[in-house]
Formats: sequence, C-alpha cells, structure tokens
Amino acid sequence: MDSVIRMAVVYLVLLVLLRFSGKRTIASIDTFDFVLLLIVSEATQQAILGSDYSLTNALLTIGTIILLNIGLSIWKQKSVAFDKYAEDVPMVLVQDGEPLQDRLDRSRVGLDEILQEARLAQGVERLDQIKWAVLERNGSISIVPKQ
Amino acid sequence: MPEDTYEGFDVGEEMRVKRVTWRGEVVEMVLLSLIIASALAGLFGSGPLSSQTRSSEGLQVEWERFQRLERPTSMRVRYPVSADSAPRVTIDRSILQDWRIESIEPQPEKAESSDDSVSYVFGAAEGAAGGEVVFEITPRKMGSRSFSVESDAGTVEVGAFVYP
Repeated sequence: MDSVIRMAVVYLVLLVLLRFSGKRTIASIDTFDFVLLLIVSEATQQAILGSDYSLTNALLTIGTIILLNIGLSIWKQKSVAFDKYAEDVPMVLVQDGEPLQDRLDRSRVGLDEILQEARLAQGVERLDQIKWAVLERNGSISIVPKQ
Repeated sequence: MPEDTYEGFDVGEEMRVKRVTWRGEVVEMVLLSLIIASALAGLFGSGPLSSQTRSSEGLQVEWERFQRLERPTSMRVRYPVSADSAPRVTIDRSILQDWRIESIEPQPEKAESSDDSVSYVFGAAEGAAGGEVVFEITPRKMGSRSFSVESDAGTVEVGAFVYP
C-alpha cells in the first residue's frame, strides 16, 4: 500500500509542478537543464522506492505510474476543458512581423529564440519576414513565414 | 471557442487558459519560495525551528522537533550524577514502537526492560557531577509522536512531528 501511495503522491506533485514551471523550460533543454533533470529524477526515485528495493515494490510502482498515466490520458480525451488546462494552449507571439512583447515577457521567451527557430526551421533572415510565431502546447516555437 | 481569432489562422489560442497558467506559475513560485524558506528555518527538520531543548531538575534533553520518516536523528540527554547510585536514563516504550534506536553513545553498562519502559544504566567517572549520552534514533512512523525521558532527577516529555 505504501509504495502505491508514494507513487501517486509523487506523480500528482510532479504533474502540478511541471505544469506550472513554464513549458518553455522543459522544451528548451540545455546541458545544465539536463543535469538538473537527472538530479530531480534521482531525488524522485529515492522518494518513491525508499529503502525497499524489492521486485514487488518495483512492479507495484511501475503498475501505479502506468495506471495513473492511462487514467490521466483518458480524462484528457474525455474532457476538452481539462485537456486545455492540463496541457496548455498555443499562443501567438509574433503577428505580421510585430512581436507581442507582453506575451513574450509572460512566457519568458526572447526575440532571439524566435529568430533562431525561424532560421532553423524556415531559413528566415529577419523578424519582418515572419507572419506568425506561435508558442505551442509542448513549449516549442513554430514559425509561419510570410509568402 | 478560442477567445482570440486571427484572420485565416486557426491556431486555437485561448487567453483565458493562458491567464490561469500564468497565475498558476506565480502561485507556484510563491509556494516554492515559502517552502524553501521554511526548510531553511528548520520546519522540515535540522534548523533553528526544529531544534528543541527541554530541562527538568538537572535532566536536559535536546532533540529535533521536526523529523522525517526513516531519516536518522540524534537525541542528546544530559543527566545529573548522584553519589549513591549509578546514573540511569529511563525512556517509555513508545520509543521502541515509533523509533528505531540505532546506537547509544557511550554504550550503557546495562539495559533493563519493564512493561512500560526501558532503562539504561551508565557508568560515571568518580566525582563527575553529570553525564551525557547521545541516542541515534530513526523514526519509523509518521505524524505526531512522543515519549518521556526520565532520570533520577526529573522527567522530560519529548514530542516530535514526523514527516512522510
């Protein structure tokens, strides 16, 4: 019972913490972020398993996490509203070459990041060549260049 | 329906959801800051808020008020020594149910168990006015837990909150 409750609590806490930590943080992962991610996973692993390294505990933990994840995906599929709040929604950051500064600030996205994405994905050279730049649900930035 | 619509661009933007997200980010930052500040102050163990000392007629007990499940912690007991009997520290049996005694330093000369308590008898250097013993204990149950520590001089009630 202990391991199921531990896993459920850790799952819910991580779900909420990561949901509100800014999607961009997760999407634009660099070497330092990767190391932080490893530290988080190590701390989480200890909280979940405790000092019980038995096969039974491992199987119970895996079973709980898979069941919770399936349950969450079903809930998201059944409820559009929940899906939007749980997974976020896209947001326009640049419209017709004009950056929407307030949105950029609130999302902690810099114009340099948008230009980098534009160069990498579309070969765009200047901001005024971008028709739309959108912060997607997964934290990535998509670019639609002007025709 | 999307709140903001752009001519010919079906992006599915909803600023209502975004505003909830931004508010959530602020709430998360404030809560995390409070949690970290409380942790630094010792609300989750080992810090000024957690360190507790209580005395009773020469008996002094020092322990952590906030403890964590399966994380070892120290309890320091200072007791007076009388000329006519060997110093004895008696702890009620709740400690055996709710904690695991990992070690006792210095080791007692004798341990005695009764129905409701366990007693440790220590050696004392000649002429010493008091002695000190450190119990390394590990909580094995969550929530509010307590036990009493007793010597010939007095009794101290030790209470702790054990986090999961």
